[in-house]
Amino acid sequence: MDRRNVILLVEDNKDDEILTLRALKKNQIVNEVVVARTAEDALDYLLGQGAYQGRDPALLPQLMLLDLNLPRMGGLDLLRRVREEHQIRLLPVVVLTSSKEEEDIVRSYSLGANAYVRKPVDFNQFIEAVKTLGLFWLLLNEVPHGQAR
Amino acid sequence: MSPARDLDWRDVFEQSSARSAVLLPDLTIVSVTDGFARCFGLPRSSVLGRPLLDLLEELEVPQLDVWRASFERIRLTRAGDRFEVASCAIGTDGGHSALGVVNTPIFDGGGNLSCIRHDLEMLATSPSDEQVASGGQGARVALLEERVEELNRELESFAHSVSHDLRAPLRAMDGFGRLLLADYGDKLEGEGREFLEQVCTGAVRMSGLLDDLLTLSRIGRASMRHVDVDLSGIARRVVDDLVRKEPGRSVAVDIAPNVHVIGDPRLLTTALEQLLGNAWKFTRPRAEARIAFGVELTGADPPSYFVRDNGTGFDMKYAGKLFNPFQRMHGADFEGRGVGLAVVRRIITRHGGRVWPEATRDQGATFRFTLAASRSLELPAPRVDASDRS
Repeated sequence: MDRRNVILLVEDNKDDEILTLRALKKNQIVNEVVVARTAEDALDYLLGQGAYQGRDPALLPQLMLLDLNLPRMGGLDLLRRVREEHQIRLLPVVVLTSSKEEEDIVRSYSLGANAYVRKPVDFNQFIEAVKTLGLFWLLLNEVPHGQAR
Repeated sequence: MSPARDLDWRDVFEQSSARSAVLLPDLTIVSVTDGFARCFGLPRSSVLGRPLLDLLEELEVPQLDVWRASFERIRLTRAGDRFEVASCAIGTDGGHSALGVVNTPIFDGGGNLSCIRHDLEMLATSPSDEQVASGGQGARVALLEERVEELNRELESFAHSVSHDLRAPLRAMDGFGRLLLADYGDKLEGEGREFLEQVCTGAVRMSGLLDDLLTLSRIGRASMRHVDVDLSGIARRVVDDLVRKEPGRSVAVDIAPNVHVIGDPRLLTTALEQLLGNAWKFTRPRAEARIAFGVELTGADPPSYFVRDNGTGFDMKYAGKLFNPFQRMHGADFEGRGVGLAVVRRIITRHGGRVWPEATRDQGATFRFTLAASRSLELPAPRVDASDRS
C-alpha cells in the first residue's frame, strides 16, 4: 500500500482521537490516518524502527497532527527530534492542541512547527478547523519532491 | 492640671509603630498609625476616609469573610473580638505567615458604639525571616523575589492545566453530544434533543469561563514596560473597532485629545477595551447613546481618567461586587461573562492606581481610574523558564 498520503495523528487522548477521526470523515478527508498514542511510537513509525521495523522512512506522511501534552516524551520534544533527524526533518507538522498559552505557541514555532491550531471545544468549530486544515495541507500545500510525493 | 492634657493624642497615636487603625461604626477609617499605613505600603492620605473592607478587597487580602464576621460579632455581642488569618502577606513590611486581628469596640457615655480600634499583630514569622533579619534589606528583597518567582511558577502550571487539561473533557462533552445529535437525533423524543443541546451549550460556555480565568491570570503575571502611552489614541482606535463591528448604531463619542500617561501600552489598551466595550454595550437600549473618555485634574491629587456613558447604569449598592470575577449586574439581556471589570481592576492595580465607579440605575455609569507615578508597588516580572516543562 502506498503510504505517502498518510496523516500521522499523534494523540494520547482516546476521546480526542475519535473526535478528530470523525471530523476528518465529516469533511470527506479519506487519507489513511495512522494514530500514535505516544511520541515514542510516532518516532518509531517515522524512522521505521521498533514496531515499524522495515517501513521506509523516506516515505514521509503528508502531514503530522501533533498534540503537545503527551505522556513521557512530550509533543515539543518529538518536534525537536523530527527536525534533528535528517531523513524526516521536512515533515509538515501542525500542532493541534488544547492550549493557547503564548509560551506553547512560541516554543512550537521556534522548534519548527509549520502551523499551530487550537482545538476548539465547540465540535462544530472543530469540524470547520479540520476542514480548513485538510484543504490547505492536503490539497493546496506543495512539499519537496523526492521527500514526500 | 496634668501636663498630658496639652498633648495632641491623635498625633501620639498616629506616630506609633504599632499597626492600629480607628474605624467608625460603618468601618470607615478615621485614623491610622504610621505602622498601619506602612504595613499596607500606602500613604496615610490614601487610607483615611475609606471603608476598611474596600481597602482590603482592593489589596486582594484573602478570607475577607472572616473579617466581616468579626465586625458582625462585635455588633451582636458588644465585646472585643480577635481572629487569626493564615498566610496573609499584607503590605510591604515583611513576609509574615499569619496575622492576628483584634477589634475592640469603644462606646460613648450613652452606651452607643462610637468607634472600633483595629489592631494587627504579625504572628509566626517563618524561619527564613530570621535570616532576613540578620542579612538586612538585600536579603529580604532577594527572599521576596524568590517567593514571587515561586508563586509565578505555580501560577504558570495552574494556567497550563486550565488551558489544556480541563478543556479536553469539555471537548468530549460537546463533541460526543453533537455526534449523538447528528447521528441519532431523530431517535430522541420530546425534549430529548433540547436537553442534549443544553449539555453541549454548557460545555462550550464552561470553556469560555476557563478562557476568562486564563486571561485574568495572564494579566496578573504579564511583564510590564513603562513608556509614554497615548490614551486618547487608544480610546479612538477601540471605539473605531466597536463602530466597525456594529455600524448600524448611532453613538455620540467624545474623546479628550492628547491624554498621555506612563504605563504599559498593551495592558492599558486591554483596560480601555473593557471599559469602552462596556459603555458601548450598556448604551445599546439608548436612542441617543453618549460615550466619553477624558481626564480630570483636581489640585494635588493624581489625575483621574474616566469613561462615561448614559447607558443602563446600575445600583451603587452593588458597586463593591462589580470588580469580582464572574459577577454580573445584568441578566441575559447583555452578553458577557462578568470578567471585564476584574481584568480592569487588575491592570489598574498593577499600575499602582485604583478604579471606582459612579452610577445611577438607568442613568448611566462613569468609571474613574488613577495611575500612580510611583513604581514601588510593582512586582518583579514573572520569569518564564522554557526548560522546566516537557
